Amino acid sequence: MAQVLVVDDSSTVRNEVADFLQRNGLTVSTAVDGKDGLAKLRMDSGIKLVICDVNMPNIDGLTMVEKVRKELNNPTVQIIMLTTENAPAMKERGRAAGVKGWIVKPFNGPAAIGSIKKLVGVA
Amino acid sequence: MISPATRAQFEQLLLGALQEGLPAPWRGQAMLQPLPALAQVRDTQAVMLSIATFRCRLHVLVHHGLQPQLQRVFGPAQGEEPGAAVPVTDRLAEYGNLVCGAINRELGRSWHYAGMSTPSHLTGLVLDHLDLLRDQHQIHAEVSVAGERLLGASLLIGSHAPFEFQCIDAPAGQTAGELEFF
Repeated sequence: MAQVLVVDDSSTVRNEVADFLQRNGLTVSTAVDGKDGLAKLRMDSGIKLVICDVNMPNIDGLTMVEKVRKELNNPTVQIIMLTTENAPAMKERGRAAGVKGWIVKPFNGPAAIGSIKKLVGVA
Repeated sequence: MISPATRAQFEQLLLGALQEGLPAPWRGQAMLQPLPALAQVRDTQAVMLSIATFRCRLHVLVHHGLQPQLQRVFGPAQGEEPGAAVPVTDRLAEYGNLVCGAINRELGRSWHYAGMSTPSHLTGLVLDHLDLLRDQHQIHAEVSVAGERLLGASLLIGSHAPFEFQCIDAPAGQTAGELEFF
């Protein structure tokens, strides 16, 4: 059972983020796009936090978040977007879908780990 | 279809994005040089991304080979598991993503509805057919680290009508890496 799910079509980002979180004591699983992310969330109800890219093939990140809330009926999993995007309209769509936070890439693990652990419930 | 001033803005944007997208330890050591022709920057492979707006379409290309210098700069970061089997080509795709993302964000400050693609890997041979994109303007640059050429880059600009663009002087609201809570 994983605490954090990292969703990104880039294996570079998946490895970098997962590796950092694991070195900081968190259990992590990964997904390659929004469709894979939904499948992983269906399989593992213990996931507390999703860190998710926006621009991905198959299902994009914001659509995945909306499906998590509506189709998976999961209002409690915390979601942070990790993306190159920061357009206000995109952030508003994320906020409306229940996204908790937004990080513009590149990922800065040391700056975020305290907040990430609080969201997972281990800090 | 774009003025020299607008072209200069795009060149500045490209060079800044190329530098900021590099792994942090290498940013200060990078030399960025604009070059006039595709032939001077192209290589055996390329990563390509696109940005579409109502005013223009941009293509961002990162030209690369497989030289050892790339592995040194884009290889596993300090502390990262050396066995993390991420090919350097994927790391370069993410670099292209960061470069294109920086350009996309700056465009978005002035214009609404800019849409960015995901990266595509191309063989350098397709560059022989770049004219088919019918982009009116090409901006090229070379990135060097420690005196050695690392990679090339191109920003291609196509538009249906004349337009102007200028970067906004005021700092952007959110800096890269910072977690903004809603």
